[in-house]
Amino acid sequence: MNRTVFLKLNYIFVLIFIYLPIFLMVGLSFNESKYFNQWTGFTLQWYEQLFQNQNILNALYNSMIVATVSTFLSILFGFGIALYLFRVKNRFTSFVEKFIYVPIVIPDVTMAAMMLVFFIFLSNYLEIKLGIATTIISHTAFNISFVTVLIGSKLTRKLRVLEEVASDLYANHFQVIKQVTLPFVMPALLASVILSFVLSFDEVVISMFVTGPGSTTLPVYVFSMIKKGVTPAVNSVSSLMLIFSLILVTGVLLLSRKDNLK
Amino acid sequence: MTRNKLNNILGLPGIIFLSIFFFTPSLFIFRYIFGSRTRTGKTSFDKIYFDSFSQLLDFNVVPIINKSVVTAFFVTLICFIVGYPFAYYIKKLSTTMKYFSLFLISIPFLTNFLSRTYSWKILVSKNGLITKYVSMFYDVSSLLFTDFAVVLGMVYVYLPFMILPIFTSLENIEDSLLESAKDLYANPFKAFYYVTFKLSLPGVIAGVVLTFIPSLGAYIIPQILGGSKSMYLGNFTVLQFIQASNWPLGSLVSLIILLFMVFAINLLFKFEGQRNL
Repeated sequence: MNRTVFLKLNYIFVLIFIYLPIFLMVGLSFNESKYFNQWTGFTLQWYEQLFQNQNILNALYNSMIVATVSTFLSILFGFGIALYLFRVKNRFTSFVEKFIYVPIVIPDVTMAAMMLVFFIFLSNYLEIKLGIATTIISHTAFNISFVTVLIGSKLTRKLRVLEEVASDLYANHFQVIKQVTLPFVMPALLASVILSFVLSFDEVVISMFVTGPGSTTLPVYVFSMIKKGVTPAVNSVSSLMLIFSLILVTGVLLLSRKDNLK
Repeated sequence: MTRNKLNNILGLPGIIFLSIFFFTPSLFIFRYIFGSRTRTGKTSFDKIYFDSFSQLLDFNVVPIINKSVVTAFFVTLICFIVGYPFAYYIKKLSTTMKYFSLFLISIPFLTNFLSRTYSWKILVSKNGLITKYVSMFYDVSSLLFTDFAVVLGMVYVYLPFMILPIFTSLENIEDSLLESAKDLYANPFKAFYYVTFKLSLPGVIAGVVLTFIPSLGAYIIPQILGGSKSMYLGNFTVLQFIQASNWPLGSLVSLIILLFMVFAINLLFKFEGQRNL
């Protein structure tokens, strides 16, 4: 039974491989010593320092604004496109159905480059400055697709039947949306709210290109800290970002699981 | 009639937004490729230039493409070697353990990329756990800023991209097929190869594409683990935009990354199309 042993070892190895660095980093963020190879005692001082660091607080504030606004916009646009693709079938919609995947699969470096050249080119003619607004627009541009695909996967034949029944019973268009469609897609809608928030909150490369001075987002700021070296400050801020997205993502996974069981 | 109009209006705002802020920007890349960098770092458009193409050779971009492709290849290979047995193992677990394992693998799939790359940096730094282990066999003081660290870092971050699609396709194989293979006196190896492995190929191809593409265009991982001296396609592009102000060359290289992606995805669809026939 060599094979089973090998498979089991590989399984354990992969899980350790994935989780060891994360636990190590979170653990080190509570280490009193500045050096990561010695443990001198438990402390919260690195977290306290974090909340006194004005640069980090500003970056966090920018990130929150960007993530909130771009989530709101992408839900608005993405949900609309998903419903449109669900209800209308023609040549144009089948093109949109394929094109909608491009912002998901495009390499982030390529998307960052094209957003930057676009905004700079426009700034020759319009009053545009790189900053919060350009970051929100860029994040919305890739988040729409995630929302459309996620909600679209829940728009099934079952919903179509329910909607037909409702309109046969003389519900008007808005009543159908409000009383049939919305409750039906609610879990997927919530999941896409969380997902687009997380995607925007964690995004680095595109933000790095399209933010201006003073509008740096948290990951861009942390990235510049990381490049300098391994420090307690980076340990604690990275741990916080990781735990934050961990909680949200667990929420998404639980939501979609509940939805599948239904 | 009014209902149809309403349905059309639902999708309109989003489609207009994407046309202006996604489709149009992608066209600008093409305009920039045929621009020329002036001395001040601005890009001139007064005629069609081909500077960026000749600079591909002048700036030694070809070895960088080579290095990126080789790195992405090894990352994909290691992810496959480790990921396939993992997916195969969890397929056979009890339902609860299976979903718990899937849950554990999916979490890093979506959580903060930057923090995870950083946590890997701690391990390969001077006195880091992995460095200590490797230094028992080789004479190294720090693995940071080596290609080894970059490859392992990419494997670390992209492994779930390989495991999840393979698991999905393994999960769809019916056990009765394996049983009939055994009834027909196939030995375990043959049964595995002709039934399990061949039927899981779509998942393998999807996993290969999903690992290869981000490894090829990666910027953050080489930057954090490889240092500023090691050049990959992703860093080279960013360098052209942020420091060198050579936007035409940067645009061209970012387009090359995109072309690799399109090529890989086409391969994926071609393969799936063949299977459906």
